[in-house]
Amino acid sequence: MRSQRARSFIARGGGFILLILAVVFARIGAHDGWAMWVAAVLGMISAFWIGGAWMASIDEAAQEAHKWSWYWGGSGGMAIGGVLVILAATPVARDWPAPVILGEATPAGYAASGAMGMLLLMVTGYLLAWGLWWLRHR
Amino acid sequence: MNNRLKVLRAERDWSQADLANRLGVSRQTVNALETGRYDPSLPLAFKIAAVFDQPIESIFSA
Repeated sequence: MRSQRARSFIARGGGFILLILAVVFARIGAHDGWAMWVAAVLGMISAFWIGGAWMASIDEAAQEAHKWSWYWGGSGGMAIGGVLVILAATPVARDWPAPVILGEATPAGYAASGAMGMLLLMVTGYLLAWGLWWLRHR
Repeated sequence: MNNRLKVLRAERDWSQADLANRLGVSRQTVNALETGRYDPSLPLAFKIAAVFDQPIESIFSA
């Protein structure tokens, strides 16, 4: 049990160290573009690392809730976003407003906003599904 | 799937939290198991059988 806790602490600690490094590089990245690349990569690795350590630390029912929710809720959200993606690629969307929710009003900013919009829909579906799973299993 | 978890736990005068600690799961999971709203994985079913010192088939039934 003690060694399990130690492993968990090290696993999470490693992720948080990477997260701190990501923040440091992000601050440097305000002046140097290469540092922002490093910050982004480290940030995502740390998020994946911390998430993995947390997922490994919860019990099987809680894991099952997250797996079920990510599949059904995340897929449901993606299906809704998929409608918008398909329409956005057709003349139907010619006059649609294109809100920039991430970055600047540049092609990259629009792409990032589209990806973030899809992610928000997937996470919303995931959270709804997660609540539903626990309502059904409590 | 039906199970005798609640009866077995009551016979030993364990709380849900006690059983959860012995199984290494949360109390919510024990509650979900007892109410039949969550079916355990095979490893957890074996662990439950070991904790109660009974064969799996005497605890779970279809």
